Amino acid sequence: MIIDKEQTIGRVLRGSTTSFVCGTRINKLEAPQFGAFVEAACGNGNSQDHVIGLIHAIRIEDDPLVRQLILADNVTEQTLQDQRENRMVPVEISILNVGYVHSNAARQALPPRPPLSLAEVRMCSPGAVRAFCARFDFFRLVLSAAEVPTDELLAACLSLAAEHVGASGSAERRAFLVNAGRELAKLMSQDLGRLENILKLIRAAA
Amino acid sequence: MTLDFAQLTDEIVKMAAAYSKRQLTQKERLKLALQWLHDWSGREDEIHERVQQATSVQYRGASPIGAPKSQPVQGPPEPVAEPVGFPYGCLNRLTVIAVDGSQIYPDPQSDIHYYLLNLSVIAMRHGLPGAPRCETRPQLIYSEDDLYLKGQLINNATINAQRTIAEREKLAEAVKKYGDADPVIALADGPLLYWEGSEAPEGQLLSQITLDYLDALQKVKTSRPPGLALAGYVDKPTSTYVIRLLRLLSLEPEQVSREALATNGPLEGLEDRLLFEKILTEPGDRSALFVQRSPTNREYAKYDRDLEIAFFYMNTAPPNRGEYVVRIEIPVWVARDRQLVDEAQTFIYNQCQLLGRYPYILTRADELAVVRGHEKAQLDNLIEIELRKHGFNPEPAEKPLMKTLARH
Repeated sequence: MIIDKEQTIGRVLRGSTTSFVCGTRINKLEAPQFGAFVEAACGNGNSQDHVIGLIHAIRIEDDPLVRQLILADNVTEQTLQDQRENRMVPVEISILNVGYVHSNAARQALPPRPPLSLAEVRMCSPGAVRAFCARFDFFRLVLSAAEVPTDELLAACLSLAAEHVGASGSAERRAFLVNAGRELAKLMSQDLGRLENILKLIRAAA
Repeated sequence: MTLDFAQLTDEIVKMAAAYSKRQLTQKERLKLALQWLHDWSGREDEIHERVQQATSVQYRGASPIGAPKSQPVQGPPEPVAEPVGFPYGCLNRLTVIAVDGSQIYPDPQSDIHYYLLNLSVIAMRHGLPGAPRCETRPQLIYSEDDLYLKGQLINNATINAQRTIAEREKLAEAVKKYGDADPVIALADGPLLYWEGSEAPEGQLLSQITLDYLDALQKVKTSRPPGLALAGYVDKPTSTYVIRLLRLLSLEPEQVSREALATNGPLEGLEDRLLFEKILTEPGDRSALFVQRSPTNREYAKYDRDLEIAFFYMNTAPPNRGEYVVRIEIPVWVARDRQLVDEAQTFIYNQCQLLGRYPYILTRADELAVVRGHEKAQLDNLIEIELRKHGFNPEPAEKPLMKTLARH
């Protein structure tokens, strides 16, 4: 997995083997988006093992000062920048675990242990996303996740992954999405309504 | 719960009735004070003469400035009963710097004695790119020379004084560092005129501390000559300087004596804030400029005439939200320059609109400086761990430990 230091988005606040939460600052919020692949180390620092997950929620916390500023008529640019860049108002990014890397081999299953507190959370590089999405076994983990908008999450992650596979309208991208759609059709044959909705959502990404 | 509310019920009813009666009396006092203020408005030179005559009987009230015979300032004298309107809509280009501080006092019941000062700076440069600059600087004080004064553990008032001096020094440093764009306003939380009354450190220390404070104030003044507007923001002021002035003016010259000025006579119990709520009725209005005639302020003026502290009252409430009067203290070097006063008035009013009634930048400086309970506990733990490494095993005091147990 290629590590891009520029793509660090925050640090692990809390976690389990099924999901984890990353804390970050508002000014770090340009890269992470709903459906993006991220990774975080799950070893003790000496190991290269890491968890791979999908961002399924981004939550901006408030506090009494922010609530008071909402009521002000003329908030200056300096005040906005102060709130966004200087204040310790955390942003929480919730991540669903969909795989892990052990001894340089990626597996699409729940990791054996969660990432440790304060572990760096990074965006996965395009190469890592392409490598991970060569298989679609992780769909099962997403579809069985509780309290996660599974349909939208699958559509969003496939759309983002397709961007790394090939240019818009290219045969590679189309083939990737068709294969993903076929895998989904196998898994969701009992629920055609939901399947149709997901396919509709990812069709636009082709 | 050990407070017996049944025993207090009757007293609460009586208290409410007494308070209501007092409010009625306040209204009458206020009416009288307003009448006297209007009677004397526009006669600032006469007021000044009466104040001068009262100096020998230790008059400690306000004196208007701007009259030809008082501290000279730009522009015509401002009548004491007239509001000065909000000067500008906003200042597009402006650097404003605020400093605040907090402390951990030494615990006399602990085996480990130390105290901590934590200073914060925030510099907002309106009209320039980039987020505001923020700094915090903690200082751990533990040497025996600093902790014990004549064998006694340093008291809280002295620590407060040290913190205030450190805040002014930090402000001077910050103005030099960030005050590169005009105009520059430096804002402090609380009064600039210190150590009146109960806040005074122990007597023998006071002279040295006052001198240190004045040195620090001088550093602020020289940090950016000319054109630095320094202001101290006093929320919910309980001062009676102008009421004391009205008391003086209500007496015939031959009646003026130390005994007569020991109370405010028929105005006793009235505060300046209540008086100016009736005068500063428009958002952003400020009062005329005054100085307080006190030995401390005279000492400031003796050190450097520019450092004498002037003040004005100001309505910081948003439109249609009534009046909220605060006291703004400024050094005379600012009071003399009408443009600096206007800039301070504009900036403070605009800042107060962000959070309702209190300047945003002071809220942030406080947030940066404050040491919270869990942070103190963490600091205590770290100190204890290091001390144990050196073979020192501090024991927690039993009294607070048991009290905490019982209160849970």
